[in-house]
Amino acid sequence: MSEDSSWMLELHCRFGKWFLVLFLVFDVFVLAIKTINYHGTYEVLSIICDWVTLICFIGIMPSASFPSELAKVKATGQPFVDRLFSADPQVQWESVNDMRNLTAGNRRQKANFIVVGAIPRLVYIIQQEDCMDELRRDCITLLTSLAKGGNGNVTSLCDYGACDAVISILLSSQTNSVVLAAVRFLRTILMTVAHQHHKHRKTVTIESFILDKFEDEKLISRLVEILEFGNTSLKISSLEIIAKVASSKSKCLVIELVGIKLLEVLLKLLDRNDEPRLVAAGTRAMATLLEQSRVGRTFIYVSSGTNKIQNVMEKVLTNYRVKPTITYDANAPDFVRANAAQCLVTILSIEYRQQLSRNVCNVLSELCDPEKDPEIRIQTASSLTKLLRNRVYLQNHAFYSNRLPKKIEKFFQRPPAVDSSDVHSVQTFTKELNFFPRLRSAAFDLLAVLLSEDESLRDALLVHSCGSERSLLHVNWLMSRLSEGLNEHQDPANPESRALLISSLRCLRSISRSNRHLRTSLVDGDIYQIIVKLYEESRNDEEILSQIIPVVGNFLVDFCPYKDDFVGLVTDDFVENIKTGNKFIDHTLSALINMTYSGTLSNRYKDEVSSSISHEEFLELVQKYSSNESVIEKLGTLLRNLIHDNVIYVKSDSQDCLMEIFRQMLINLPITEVAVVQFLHAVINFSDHCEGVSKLCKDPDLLTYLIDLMTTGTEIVKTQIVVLVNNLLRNSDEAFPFRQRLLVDLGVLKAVDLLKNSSNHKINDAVKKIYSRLDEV
Amino acid sequence: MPCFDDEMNLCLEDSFKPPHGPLDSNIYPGACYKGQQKSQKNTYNIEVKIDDINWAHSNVCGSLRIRGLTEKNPMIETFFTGEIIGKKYSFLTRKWDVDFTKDQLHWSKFEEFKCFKNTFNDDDFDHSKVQESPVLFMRWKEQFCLPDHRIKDIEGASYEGFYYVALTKETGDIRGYYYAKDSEPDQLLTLQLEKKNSSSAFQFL
Amino acid sequence: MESEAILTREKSWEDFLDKTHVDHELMTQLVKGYLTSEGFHDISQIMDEEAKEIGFAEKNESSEPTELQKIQRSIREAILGGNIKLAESLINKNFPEMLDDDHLLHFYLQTLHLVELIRAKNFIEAIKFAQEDIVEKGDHPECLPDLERAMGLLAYEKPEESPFGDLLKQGFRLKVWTQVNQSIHTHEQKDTSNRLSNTMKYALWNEKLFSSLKIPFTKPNL
Repeated sequence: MSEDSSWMLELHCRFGKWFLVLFLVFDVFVLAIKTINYHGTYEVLSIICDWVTLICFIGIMPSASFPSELAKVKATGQPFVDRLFSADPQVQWESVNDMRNLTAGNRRQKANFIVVGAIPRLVYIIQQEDCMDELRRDCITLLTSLAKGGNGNVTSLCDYGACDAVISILLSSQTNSVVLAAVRFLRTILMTVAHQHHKHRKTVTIESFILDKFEDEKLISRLVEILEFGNTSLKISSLEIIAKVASSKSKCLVIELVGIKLLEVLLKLLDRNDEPRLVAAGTRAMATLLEQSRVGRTFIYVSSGTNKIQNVMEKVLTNYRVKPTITYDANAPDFVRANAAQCLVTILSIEYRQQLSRNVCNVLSELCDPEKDPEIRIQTASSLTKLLRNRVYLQNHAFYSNRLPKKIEKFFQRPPAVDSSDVHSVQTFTKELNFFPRLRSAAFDLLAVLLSEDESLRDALLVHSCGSERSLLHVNWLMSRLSEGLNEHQDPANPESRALLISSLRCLRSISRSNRHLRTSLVDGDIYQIIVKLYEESRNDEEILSQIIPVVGNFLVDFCPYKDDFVGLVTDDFVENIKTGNKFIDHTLSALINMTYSGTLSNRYKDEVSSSISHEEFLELVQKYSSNESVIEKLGTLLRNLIHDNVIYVKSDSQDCLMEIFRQMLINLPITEVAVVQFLHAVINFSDHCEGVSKLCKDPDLLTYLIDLMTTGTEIVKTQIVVLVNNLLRNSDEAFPFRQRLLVDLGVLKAVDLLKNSSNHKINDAVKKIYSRLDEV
Repeated sequence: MPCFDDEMNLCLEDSFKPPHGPLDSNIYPGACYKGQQKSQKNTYNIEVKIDDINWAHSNVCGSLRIRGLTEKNPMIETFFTGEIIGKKYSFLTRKWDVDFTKDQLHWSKFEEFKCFKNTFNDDDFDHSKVQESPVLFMRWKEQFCLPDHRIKDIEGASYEGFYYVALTKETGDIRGYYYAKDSEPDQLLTLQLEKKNSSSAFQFL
Repeated sequence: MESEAILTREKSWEDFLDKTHVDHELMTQLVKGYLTSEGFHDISQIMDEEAKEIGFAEKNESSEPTELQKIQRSIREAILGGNIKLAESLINKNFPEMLDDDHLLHFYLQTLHLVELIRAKNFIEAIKFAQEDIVEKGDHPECLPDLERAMGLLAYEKPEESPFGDLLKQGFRLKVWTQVNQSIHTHEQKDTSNRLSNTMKYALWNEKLFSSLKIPFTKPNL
């Protein structure tokens, strides 16, 4: 709101909305009379101008009005706000304290005071330079109380500049109690919004709007200063603010500016402090900071490797291993351990140590116990997910030694019904129920990692008991949980049910990496039908696509009983995707490779692809992606699969595009080793057909280059070339003597001589054959 | 704009670069073997196809077709999973109702096992030696019928037991002995690799 | 046979009790710890003085109540005296965010205020208070049972004779005070439990265990 409108604002605050409404009615009335009695053209212009102004004004009105939930409130707080306008600070102070007593814990009263315009007046009061410290402190406390009434209240507070005002007070004030009130206010603003975050998407915008205000080096260094000198409660609040700012990807850079100082202060604080709630906040902040890659790297660089942080964290873990005999905050020690373990997980991702990682794994598994607080279980499950990713040894350790599957099973258990008259069990029940979707998605993520690599773990978890093999979870049980998770996305705006869907897709992806389970578990669980439906519904949903494409890619492998259904469903989309080259190209290419891979003799899946991508288009694709390593490798593999056992594909290449691709990829472009191998495979497959052989022999340049590779290439390339030469030297038609001569002229014999004594029996085999086939020359 | 969790990319192995392919070993995804299984009275034609091999975890799986085993079903196809003997899976089976003597009896039928015969039960048995052997030792266990895994019983046929298998690395020839508690001992499986000059590839995502 | 065994055991138990000596100092400390943590500082002070007079007290600690103890006392007096609004403002003054953050605590204070209004036969205001202010606590499922009971009081002509009459007894005020006191301890990061009540809880737990396992024991005569 601009400066000019401040008198309006003041009137508005005093008389509420009625003033504005009266003003508008009056204005409309006057203008209407003017319009009726107009005289000349000049006056017409002036009247039109007035109307435009008025309409604009009415248009602005709603933007200055209150969020809808506040609009319904009956305004009864007027007398209190009136007293805020008193000239006597004592009266103001009394009024503030009366208001505090009314608003504490009472949403209705909070809304009431906001509607009658308390916020702008309070902001005005705290901004005055001669404001008493006590008054200022209590005003800020009142504002904090108002903020604890939901997002609507926070939005109003920000609209009226309360946030900026409090920040500037925090930076300038030297009075302890005022600073404490200010820090608490800022913390409340951040936490209230973050708390709602999981439930509603729209709050994300408010959150980033508020975070913008914290992107201020001065503010952050002030908070770090408080960490050093403040009392416990101040420290905890400022740590919470820092952690919150650090958790935002776009805003965390501001922390880097004070990173070194912050790290030093944090380590000192954690090293000697034994107040569990402070240590919990400190480790939380540390964990968040380490996870932000840039800030984290600065941290680790500064502390000369990870040793210092690691030592402190290990010490914290040991100190809190035995539950200290404190009763006032039973979960604090668990939170401390969860946070410290999370820090160590991040450190381990940079520098892996087996013993340490096993210890951390034990701690985290213990914190996954069903009797722990659901928040802790979610946090530790996601740390475990990170720790176990790609580490098969640890996966086995967690699976068997820590009995993780049984614990994960409990993540899916609805909280048991409780005696409704026992307040505390009702409280626990409600909390568990609120966290239920998030618990399940954390469990799916963890399962996704556990089942991603080791087939014996998948079998241990999913295969029916037979003989001594016993499945840990009943296969039907997991499949029903999966289909529940996949079906639970009725509300696309609810991030929780969406996260659950994404996590179940991840878990499904891991299970679908197994031939056996493609054929059995997923069939029994009716998963395929769900995925067909889900794919059809989410063709335009990038977030879901990013997870569902790999799953479908696995379903396109020959072993999947439902391959045909998915070929029909996705081929056109995927081909289109590759031609336009959007961000899923890596996965869609892999999916097409899987689709065209065949153990059977049928070429119908290859035809599906080759009929939509002509040879010319393939050439264009290869040229287009020549600088993208992984795409070019996959294009090579796709070509290899397309040519394999597929005479028609080779014959129909009237423009010799395939030869052009080989020339460009192998001779002209410096492509990666993997890509070379794949394209060589394509050439070998090409040479398996007579047409291919004759085309290759028409290009002595390419052949010379390939024969050179026989001496310069790696072991696998050498093997490939001798197999290729063998293919070229089959006595299949009348051009055979010509080919013999051509290859000898190109120096095959000399190259082969060098490979004569290879230890590789494949090469030896092929070399012998080459000799015999060249015998007649 | 939703942000995608790149770390969740589960692909660990370099894509489409299996450490052993058709060019440097004689067992690879897509490899086909043909041959016979001989019992005292009968000989059946067998075809084995390898679906997938995971060298990192020493697992193999595929399908096994047997012709003429029963009159009602001229061809029966089963899905089998296999363990490659090495660091992860020992010569000692420790399941499927067999003990040390059964293991020793069957493995000893392979000439190449002779050098491990006296030591394979030792606690400090050096499994890296097994890798250097000219053959690849495996255990294949049939799991369920194809194409419908829900069929539990086939009249006159059973796949309760498992095969002790040895694959000669240089040629791709396979010998195997079927063992099941109540069935005829010493049923010999012999298979030869069908050589190919062309190949294709896939990779789970 | 059986009863005799119990008798002998009982006898030896009594003997054991007679022979056990509890140090006076220890006893004083136990009681004092209980009194301080429950907010009865003035009584513990009197005890101190008494001990001094008798000559038992060896150390001459200053027993001047701390700032926090003074606050606790004033809040306790307000609650036990039925002046809930005063208690709330005292809490707000000294523990700014407590009532906002702990909705359950605030709910108990509100319920007690409602009960006080009913006790004062101020039914119109009670109904208004219930309709306007307590109602929003219905969003929290754990508040519902007690909310229903408190509202139930309004339905009876003689609330003290209603099934919910226990809310009108001093016990409910004490219960609310215990809750408040616990929150204050949590806020000040102090141990809420004291050794005397812990010992008591432990004894009760033992009794329960014995009777569930059907082990005979002597109930202490309190």
